[in-house]
Amino acid sequence: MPHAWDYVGAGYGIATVALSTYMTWMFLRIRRLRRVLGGDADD
Amino acid sequence: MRFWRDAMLVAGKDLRIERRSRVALAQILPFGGIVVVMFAFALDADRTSLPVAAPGLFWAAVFLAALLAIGRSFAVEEANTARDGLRLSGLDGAAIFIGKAVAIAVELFLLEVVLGAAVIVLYGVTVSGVLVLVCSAVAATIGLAATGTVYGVLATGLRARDTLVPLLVLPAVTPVMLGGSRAFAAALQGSSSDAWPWVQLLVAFSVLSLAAGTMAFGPLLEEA
Amino acid sequence: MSTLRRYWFGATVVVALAVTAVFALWLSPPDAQQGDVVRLLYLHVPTIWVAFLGFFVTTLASALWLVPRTRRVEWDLLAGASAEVGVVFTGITLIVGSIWGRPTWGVYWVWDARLTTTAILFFLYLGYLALRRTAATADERGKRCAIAALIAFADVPIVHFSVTWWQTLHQSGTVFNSSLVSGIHGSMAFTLIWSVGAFTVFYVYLVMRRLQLAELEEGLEERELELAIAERQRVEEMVSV
Repeated sequence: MPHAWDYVGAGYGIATVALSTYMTWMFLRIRRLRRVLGGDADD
Repeated sequence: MRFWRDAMLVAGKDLRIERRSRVALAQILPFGGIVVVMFAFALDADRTSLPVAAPGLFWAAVFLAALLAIGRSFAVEEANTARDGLRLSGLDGAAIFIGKAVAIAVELFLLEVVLGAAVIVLYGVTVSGVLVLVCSAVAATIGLAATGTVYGVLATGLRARDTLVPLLVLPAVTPVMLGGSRAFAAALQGSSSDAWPWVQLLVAFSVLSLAAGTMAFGPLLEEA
Repeated sequence: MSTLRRYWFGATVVVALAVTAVFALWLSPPDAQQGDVVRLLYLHVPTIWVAFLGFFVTTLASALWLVPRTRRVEWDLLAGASAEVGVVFTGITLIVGSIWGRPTWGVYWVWDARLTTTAILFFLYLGYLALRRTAATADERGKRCAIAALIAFADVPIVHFSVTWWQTLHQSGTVFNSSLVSGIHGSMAFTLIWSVGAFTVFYVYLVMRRLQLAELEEGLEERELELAIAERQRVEEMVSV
């Protein structure tokens, strides 16, 4: 099938970007809240 | 039975409010009308596509109007701490649910009659299978009103209620859209017997949504 | 979970996903019919599985919250966290599935039962997430969201049934095989099963972190309240003196 790897690349690429963005947002927000709450919050 | 008396009390209250304020008559009905007209523009108003699409377009217009009716039904409870009044009234939550759902359903029935006439005239539809049309409309409307009432009370008192309820209701009533438009399509094409399975689906959905509302409305009203 | 254990778990997830990628994109063979495009299924199948798992957990957590005896704020937070992860994965499922569909069926989208129901599922839980965000206080949130989650969960089979019926009556002209790869064996089967397992572990990690975030946000609100009260008391003391 021609361009098969184009489709595979697009699919995996979008999934990777989406999940990476989601996780980055989550981690950044966790870090900011931990700092604000000054370590009172539990892990 | 006290339950039915209470339900009719609430339904009567809502319908009386409508009769005095005429919001559904003056605003929701014309809105439905303009949606029907708008679809003609959207589909380029030719003689072949509109009659074919009429069943779906009719129900789309009804759904959009129903969203307004649901919003209105709960907007009237916001004023003058009416919600607190309902809670303290001693009325059974399930009865209030049935009452509000009945009121919405009655308004929607009347709306459907008028919009149906508009669709017949404006889209060039030839009517057949009237029994199926009526039965499916009744079943669909009950399901629509019941589901809408549940989500209406669920979102009541929240900040973005007006934009939230449409987003919650429309995916949930997908079976009604499918059942209603397919049943209408079968009836209008003259093959009414194909429609009855869809009517069954609509009835089943109505029963389930009435059951859900009966159970959930009271607790949700307490929270509101 | 302690920080150290969380790091090890995270590392495990990374390894599992890396192995998935190696097998999915390299070691497994192309399909006899679909060619290399089949590799998208090693992504598409796990994501929809994870989405269903996520929504199931949301439903369970919502039910646990609703029952007064088991009611804890953690169930409500878990319901929300799992739903958010579920929605993310449902979105990815729809996109990857669509990309897979183009070379396989010739079209990006068909209104078959599975796709249509998945699309409705996406919107149902998108609405749930919107509801969560709109409810300002934990009190407002708990009961409304729990009931919304239960209704959404109950609605999915009804929608699926309706749409399946709709499609069987349609008998559209295009003949396409909506089922997955038939007769998969060997390294393809292994890759598929491994990827489902890897994504499941990934789901657990994501929900765990998202739950942590939700708990921190709850803590933030309590902290702000405490600060506001302390501030108020200080002002009153100054005024009264």
